[in-house]
Amino acid sequence: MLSWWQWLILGAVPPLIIALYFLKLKRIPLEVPSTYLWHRAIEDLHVNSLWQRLRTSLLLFLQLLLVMLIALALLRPGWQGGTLAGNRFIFLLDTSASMSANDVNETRLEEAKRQVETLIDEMKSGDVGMIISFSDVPIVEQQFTDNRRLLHNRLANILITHHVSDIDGALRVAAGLANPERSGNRDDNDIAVADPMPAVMYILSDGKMIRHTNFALGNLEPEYIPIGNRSVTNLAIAAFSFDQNPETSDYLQAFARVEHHQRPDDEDPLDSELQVDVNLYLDDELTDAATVVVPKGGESSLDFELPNIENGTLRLEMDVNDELAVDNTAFACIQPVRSGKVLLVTPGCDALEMVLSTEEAEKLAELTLLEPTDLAQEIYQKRASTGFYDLIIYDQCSPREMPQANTLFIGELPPDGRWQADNSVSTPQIIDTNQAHPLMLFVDLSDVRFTEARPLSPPPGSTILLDADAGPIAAIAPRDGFEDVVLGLFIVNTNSAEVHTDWPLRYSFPVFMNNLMNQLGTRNRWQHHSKIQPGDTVTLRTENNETNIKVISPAGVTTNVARSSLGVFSFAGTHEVGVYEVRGVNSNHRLLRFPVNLFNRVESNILPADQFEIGYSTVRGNRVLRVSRYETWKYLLFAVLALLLLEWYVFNRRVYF
Amino acid sequence: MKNDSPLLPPESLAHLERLELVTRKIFRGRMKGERRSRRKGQSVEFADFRNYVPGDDLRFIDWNLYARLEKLFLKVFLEEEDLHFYALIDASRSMEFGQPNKLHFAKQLSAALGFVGLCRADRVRIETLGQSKREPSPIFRGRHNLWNLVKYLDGIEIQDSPPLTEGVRDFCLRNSSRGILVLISDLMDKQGYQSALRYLLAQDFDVYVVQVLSPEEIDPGVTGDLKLIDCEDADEAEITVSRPLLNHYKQNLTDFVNEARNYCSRRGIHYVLTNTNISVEHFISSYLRQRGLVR
Repeated sequence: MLSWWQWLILGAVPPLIIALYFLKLKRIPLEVPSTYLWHRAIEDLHVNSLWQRLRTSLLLFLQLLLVMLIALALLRPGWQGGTLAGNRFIFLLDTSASMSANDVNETRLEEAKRQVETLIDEMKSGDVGMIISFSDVPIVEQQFTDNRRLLHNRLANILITHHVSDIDGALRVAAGLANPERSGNRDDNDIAVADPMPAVMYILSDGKMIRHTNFALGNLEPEYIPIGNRSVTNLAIAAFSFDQNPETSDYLQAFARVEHHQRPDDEDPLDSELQVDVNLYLDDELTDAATVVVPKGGESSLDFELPNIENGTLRLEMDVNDELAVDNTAFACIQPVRSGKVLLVTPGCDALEMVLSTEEAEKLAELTLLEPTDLAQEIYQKRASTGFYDLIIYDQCSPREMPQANTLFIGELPPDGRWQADNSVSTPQIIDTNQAHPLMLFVDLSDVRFTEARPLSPPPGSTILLDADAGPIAAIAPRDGFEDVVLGLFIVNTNSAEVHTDWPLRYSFPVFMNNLMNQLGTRNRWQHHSKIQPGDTVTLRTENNETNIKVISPAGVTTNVARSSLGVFSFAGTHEVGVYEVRGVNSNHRLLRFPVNLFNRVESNILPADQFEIGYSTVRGNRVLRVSRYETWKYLLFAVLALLLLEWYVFNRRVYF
Repeated sequence: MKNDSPLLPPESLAHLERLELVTRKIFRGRMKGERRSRRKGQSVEFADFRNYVPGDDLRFIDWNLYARLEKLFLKVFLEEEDLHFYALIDASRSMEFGQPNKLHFAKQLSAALGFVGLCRADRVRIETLGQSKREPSPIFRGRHNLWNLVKYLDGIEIQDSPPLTEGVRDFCLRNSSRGILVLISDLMDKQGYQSALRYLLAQDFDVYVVQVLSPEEIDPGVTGDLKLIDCEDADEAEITVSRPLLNHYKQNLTDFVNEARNYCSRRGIHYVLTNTNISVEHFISSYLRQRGLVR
């Protein structure tokens, strides 16, 4: 700031100019033929009056304005406000399902877009911006550009998805220029690294995303702008499935779980429950309805009983009008029952052969028997590699390659190397049976004894079925759309005369095998399609010889899918929630349907997070933009320059008003 | 065109030779000339008969009539006389402005019109306002005097002139013979031009007023804060040039010119406005021809 005497000097400048103007120290004498007409003109104008002098002197005004602008520029005017600090900006927009919540404005995504528009407008000349939208995959909507119109256009084209939120990919894309990695050829000892270009990264999200611990921000400076109302609540269908009634085959049972999400500190002891009507539709016709009481912030389950129908689409709808609509509906598809094909490869196990040959078992699947030596035959290899069998049971043997089928390995490990086993331990004690898994439903092993078993090290993602004191001895693991069950024990060992177990004599053995046939040995009513979430890749198998299928999305978008070399169809277009229909391209015959449901607790819990972790950094929400200073003296100097040009023009070109 | 350009370019002589000065009035000449006069005299153009009186020239008796009527009649012919042409040049300091200056233009115009008069055996006299009575200007007659005329014009310099009215009055006192008078001036006299023109009308001249202005007077190219000094009376005017001031100046000039034109036309005076950028030959052949001074 200026001191008082500086202000005084500054304030004296304009009066000085006016005084100089009136004193007219430099009036140029000019001889003219006659002043006769000039005198008359002067008289007409009354040029001696003060007002007339001022009115006609554009140059005086310009000079005064010039001095004012210079004085103003010297004072370095500016203001502090919410503006963008930096010159490289990355805008990360969350397009996951929870961003479709309508608790702010239209939807959260629209609100985020509106905020990004504001941020783009505040970019200074020369600033560059980049737009990345992310759900479970990042999409670079626009690379770095200083073209604001282009940024606005790209921003307007961003659409909501039903996918889950995973910021990791977006962060890695954003970090491309800010944290350059080693370039050049490693073998040539070339360790050149590009100059980092730091950027400010604005993350516009509700903070509902998978946590990441291995991403280093480096030169990225995150600014998290939470989108969403902090007092929002949401009811969601968290699970929906059906199965045959275990007691009678005449009925199907549909199960659902309803969750309520709210802020933990919003609990009100006087009003701790809420009721919601849930309607079940079969092929768009109301079949059943129920009222479920959900504790606030808790969950509740319900079930429906349906007649045993062959085919149909189930839709469960909550009669509630909350902020997130996508999780208020769930779908399930009942597929026609078809008897499966089961191959038993055994050197000889009467118990297995007997239990798979019962009348009840034959209803479920058609059994084929082979010896381990037959695994080298061409017909086996062809059938195994084309998905002919639904389930192959390898008893005391192992194939060279994993088949395109579900498998049960007894006493051996799959040949793909993912499974490991320790040495045999004798008389393992069963300490836990995973009865939550459908394979172990009603399987009671308390009276079963095993003389020896091999503790297993199943691959990641697998589920332990039987846990013994020495380690897991039975587990199930997914593999390319199939499931592999491995039992680290023998039922019968043909190489040994010893009895290994009394399991075949117990009830639990046929129950387990029945579960196995039901779950893995038949093309059951909903196969593996019960837990498909938006964005998942679905592996589809059809029973005919179609080389191409078309998948029709709930919105009616048709996608053609070609059969892969493995004989399956991989469909990655599960972008929205609903029932997808699969038809043959040539026959147009409907082959199957599969449902896609959100069923994601993270997305359904739409309370915006105040902060989240990126690597070891905690990114806190900041609803107010960082304060920076707007400098205006440059613009004032430009104005001074323009004024000088104008003065020059006025003086030389005789432009007067 | 510059101030040292010839007053009468040789290439324009042939063109001017074909012209003649015209007056709407018929004046009495002093010497025999090439114009018909109201007076009867000796020429080839028959006018009338009259009775013979003793002393008449016997050569003009119509003997054919005497043979028929036995009475003496004398044939009378129209007299052909000369014309007086005056060019009155304003050589005051204000005529020094312009490129070429207004005086040079005036001298060129006087030379050209004077040459036309000399070719027709008219009496040509060039005077400046405030001409010394002791050194009256010569009278030129006959085309052999052309170079004397040009030499005389060359000798005219800018001088301190009396006001317009005074100068014209002195001229009228010195020149009683009537004829065509061309007054070449900028008329920028603070005492006005009206009384001067009245003197000329009283003398019964066939008056032509040629107002010469320089382009700088018509569209002043001045800027800034100026102290204007009148070159004749050193009168000062302080101005700050602005668009309204310039507009007022131009409006005043237009009013002044219109006023002079009206004043002249009401009194039978031919008024022509010109500026020094126009060539004299073009001025004579178009402007003055339209006005009827030459044909």
